[in-house]
Amino acid sequence: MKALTLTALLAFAALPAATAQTASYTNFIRQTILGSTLPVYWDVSVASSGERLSPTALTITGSRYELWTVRSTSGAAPTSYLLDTAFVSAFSPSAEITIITEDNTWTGPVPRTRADRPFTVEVQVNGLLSGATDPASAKSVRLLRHGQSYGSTNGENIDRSQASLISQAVISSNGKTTLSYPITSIPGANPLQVKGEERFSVFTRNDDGSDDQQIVSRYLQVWPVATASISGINPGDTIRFDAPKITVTVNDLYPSSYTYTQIYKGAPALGTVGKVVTSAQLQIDQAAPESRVWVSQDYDDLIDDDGQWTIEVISRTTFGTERLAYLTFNVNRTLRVNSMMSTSSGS
Amino acid sequence: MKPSLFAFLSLSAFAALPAFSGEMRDAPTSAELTERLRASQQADPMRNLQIVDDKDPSEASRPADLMATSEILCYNGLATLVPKGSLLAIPAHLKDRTQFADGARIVPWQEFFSANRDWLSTSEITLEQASGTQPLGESLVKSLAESRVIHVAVLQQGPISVNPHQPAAGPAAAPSQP
Repeated sequence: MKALTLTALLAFAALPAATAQTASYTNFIRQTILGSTLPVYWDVSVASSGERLSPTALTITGSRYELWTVRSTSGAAPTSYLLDTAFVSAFSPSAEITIITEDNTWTGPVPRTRADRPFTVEVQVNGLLSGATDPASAKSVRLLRHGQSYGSTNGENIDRSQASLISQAVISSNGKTTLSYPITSIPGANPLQVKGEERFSVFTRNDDGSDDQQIVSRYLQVWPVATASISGINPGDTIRFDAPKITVTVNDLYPSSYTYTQIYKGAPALGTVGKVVTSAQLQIDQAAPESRVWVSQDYDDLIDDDGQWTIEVISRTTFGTERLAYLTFNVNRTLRVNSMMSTSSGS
Repeated sequence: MKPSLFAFLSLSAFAALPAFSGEMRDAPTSAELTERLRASQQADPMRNLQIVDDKDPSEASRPADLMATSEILCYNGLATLVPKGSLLAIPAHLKDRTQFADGARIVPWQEFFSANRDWLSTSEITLEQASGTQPLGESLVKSLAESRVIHVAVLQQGPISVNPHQPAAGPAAAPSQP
């Protein structure tokens, strides 16, 4: 008898519960027992976190375990969300997928990265057979890669049936397969602004006409590259009196980031540490990106000399420190009095 | 200039982020990323495996929505879900308790059952009875017909759907001797 540990499924269930505010979420694990007759649907009670063993032996034809969470809010019908599925049978291969990103500051259940950053997928397959008499379904599995854009949302109420299949391959031997991707392939008009998720999944590979079943799947969230702009002063402008108000617009700040505006005397030079404009900075540590508009004039207090000055928007994330935008302007506040002195003498 | 309280709090709350190492770069541009995307797609690491162009299997095996495949039990501000086909008896006077009432809070089956034992009962069955290969016991069928409470089929305390009994086909008749 194989025992199924539902640890991974239950861990995934923590996501919506953690992000819920007014709604309540209840988790259900539904086991679909597949067989030659009609399938049987069986609910396994679960707590919000933890693990338990499947209470029955697995059948040859296998079972699909579905982890659902049901959202209930006052005034609305309950809505169910499928969080994860796993297929297990007495003779099917097993598989596990691990997605590794550079964002080790994030401890949420779904790994995340940014649209321009690399990631690695490790696929571990066990239990494949190679005997001449072994069924085809025991000799190989399918590996699928799907991509889906969140569009204008941050993934709320996403319909995962709309994900696009990017590629599909067959794995015919046991062991670990490592796939290294330099960048996401989630579809989008501007690769900087891509946000969505990639899904890697392993399916059975049957040859008897029956539906292939998902053995395991894992998701990766991808957030856009932040952008910024500075307006209200033009490059090369000269300030003679009070500095004008500037508008700093930042879009798609990475969910865990510190973004600030700084000013320093001199021409633009990457890596220069300037003075932080207090009214134009933001730190966040959350589940989704953030956009802001800052209108600032307090940078004027930081200008203490005539000459060329540079103002920059910097964002610090787990991926490093990056300059999002900059411009230079001149300051000339020295009062020059041109006068001509003359003497006159009466005659 | 004195460091502000805000700046201090910012630094202390951001211990998770790596400190500024002095290295800074410009954020990538759209053109740079487009080029990297093109190169990435040409060097797809899945090409090192046996690429196939089969139909997407996730379309056929996608589970149906949980709400559509469940019965609702609801009473006194609480509700729960059980698989369709698991309600063995629904007396007419309790039929309204299989409808969701606005504002009810969904709870796990065990919590709901514990709170409603006066009108809710369970009948432990076998996996063979659930799959329909064996019939329900005669005494159970008789008690269901006379039930004044809602009966839920369970296996090891978990609600389970019950398929109609379909007797296994008998052995094929042996071909007659010539």
